Amino acid sequence: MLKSDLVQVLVEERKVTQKQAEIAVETIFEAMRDALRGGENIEIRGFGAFHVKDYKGYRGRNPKTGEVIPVEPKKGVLFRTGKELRERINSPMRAAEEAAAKVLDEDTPVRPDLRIVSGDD
Amino acid sequence: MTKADIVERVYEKVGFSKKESAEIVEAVFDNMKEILERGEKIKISGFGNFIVRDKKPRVGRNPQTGEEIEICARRVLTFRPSQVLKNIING
Repeated sequence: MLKSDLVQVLVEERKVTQKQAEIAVETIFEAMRDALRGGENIEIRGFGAFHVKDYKGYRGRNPKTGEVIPVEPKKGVLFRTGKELRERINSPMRAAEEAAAKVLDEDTPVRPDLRIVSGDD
Repeated sequence: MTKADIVERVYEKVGFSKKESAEIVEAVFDNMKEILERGEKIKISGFGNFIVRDKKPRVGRNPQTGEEIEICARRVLTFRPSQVLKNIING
C-alpha cells in the first residue's frame, strides 16, 4: 500500500476531492516530519509513537580492509507500536498459529491424501 | 506532537472545518491500522515504510528471576524511516 492508496480511500469514503485528499495526506506526513525535524516526539493514540534518538559517534571499521573510520554522532527515528494496533496486528497470528499446529511439518507441502489418520476407527 | 496538532495543520492547509479535519486525520490512521492488521505493508514516500513481520517462537528469560519462558510466535510492526526523513532529522 502506498500513500496514493490512502488518498484513494479518503476520496471514496469521505466524499472529498482527489486534490483535497492528496493535500490532507501529504499534510499529515509533512506535520510529522516537521515535528521530528525539531527533535519533537509524536504520539498517535492507538497507532504508535515516534521519537528521535541521539546516537553517539564511534570509531567504526571497514570490515574488508580493517581501516578505522570515524562515525559521526547522528540521530535516528524510533517507532513504538501503540497498544491497540499491536494487539490488532498480533491477533490474526494466533489463529494462524493454531492452524499451523495441525500441520506436522510446515516445510512439507500439505498432502491431504497422506494425512495421518487415527487408528480408532 | 499529538493527533490534535496534526488536525490543526490539516485544518489550516486544506480548508475543511475543524470537525472535518479531525475526521479526515482519524480516517487516515484508521485506514493504516486496517491495512497493517491485514499484514500488508505501507510505503510512504518521503517518510518511511511500515512493515509487519512474523517473529518465530523463541526462548526468552525473565531478567529478574532468570527463569526461562517460551515467547510465542507473533506478528510485530516495524517502521523504517526513509532516507529523506533520516536526512531531515540530521540536517
